[in-house]
Amino acid sequence: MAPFRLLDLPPELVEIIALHLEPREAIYLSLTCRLLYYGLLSPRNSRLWYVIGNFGSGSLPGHNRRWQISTVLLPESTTRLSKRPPAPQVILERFLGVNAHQPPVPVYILREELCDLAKKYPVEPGKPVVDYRRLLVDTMLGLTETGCQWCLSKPETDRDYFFPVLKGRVCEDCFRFNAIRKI
Amino acid sequence: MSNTQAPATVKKLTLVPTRLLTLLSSDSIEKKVARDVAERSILIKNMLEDCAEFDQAIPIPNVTSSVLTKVIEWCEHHKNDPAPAADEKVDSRKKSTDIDEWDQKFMQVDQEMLFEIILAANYLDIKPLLDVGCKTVANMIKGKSPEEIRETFNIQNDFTPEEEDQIRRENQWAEE
Repeated sequence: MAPFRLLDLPPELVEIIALHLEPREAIYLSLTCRLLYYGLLSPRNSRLWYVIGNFGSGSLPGHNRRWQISTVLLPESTTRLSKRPPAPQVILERFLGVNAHQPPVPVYILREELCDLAKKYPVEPGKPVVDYRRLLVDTMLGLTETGCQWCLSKPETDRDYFFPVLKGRVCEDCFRFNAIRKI
Repeated sequence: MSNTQAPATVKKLTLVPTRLLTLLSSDSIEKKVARDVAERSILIKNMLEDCAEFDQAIPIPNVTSSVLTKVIEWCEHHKNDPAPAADEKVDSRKKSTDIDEWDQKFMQVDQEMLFEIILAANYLDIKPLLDVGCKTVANMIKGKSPEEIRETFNIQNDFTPEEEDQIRRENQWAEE
């Protein structure tokens, strides 16, 4: 049976599908290919990640002041790489402060890889925007001091469980429904 | 006062005959469908409001007859459902992937048909059907690793080795 042609769907429909996913699942989807990682599901589409992470609820660890908010810059000046594609085809995106301890990572993105939806959310050159996808990843990596690393949606529970086996901090619900099945 | 008027209104409604419309699929097959069923499609509803009479078949150029048959089946089953709220935000958080039992069975089709139903629902502007289709695809993603998602949807891993190494370092948990 032929697989479902997910990437042939119009970007706005892939976005609707992504909105039905939990943050972890949406991030997994973004990691599958360049089109999604640098295009539709890139940090550039900040509104989508804001909704996926439910940051509007005001109850997520993204609002904890101990969080370090990573930024994405689109610099006007370019940083050259050895295998730079022809200039007209390229938009350079430089990720700064991926986890506050690593140097900036220059990545070339071809213009045709940017889907229409991502273009709807242009970033002014030099203007930092909140990288909500990074915020979600940081929580899952345990780089923050709050938040369930599995669901992110219930950071304030009575009890947090930390399991060395799982290398993660999970809330009580996730302990019951996810973690306990893996032990 | 409303009590005395209500029976008359009901009587009037029941006397109105069901109006049949003809839809013409992209492969030139005609489908007869009741107007109230067809009006689950906002596209068709707007067309009917713009044109007082539709004596000829309404062309649906983007939808084949087999897909149109499925869409009509869904519309017939859901013809009495309340219309979705007009002010519903497109980007509202919709994490629930619970799908009605009838809809689950309806969506048990091959992948190509599922793909076509989603496109048809989008074209015909049938938001509840589009929602069911997208939820079905979301359920296919749930619980899978990036590699399993690639396998499910035949997505080519086209990251360069350098990018993959960088992404792996940034997202260690994804590989665990």
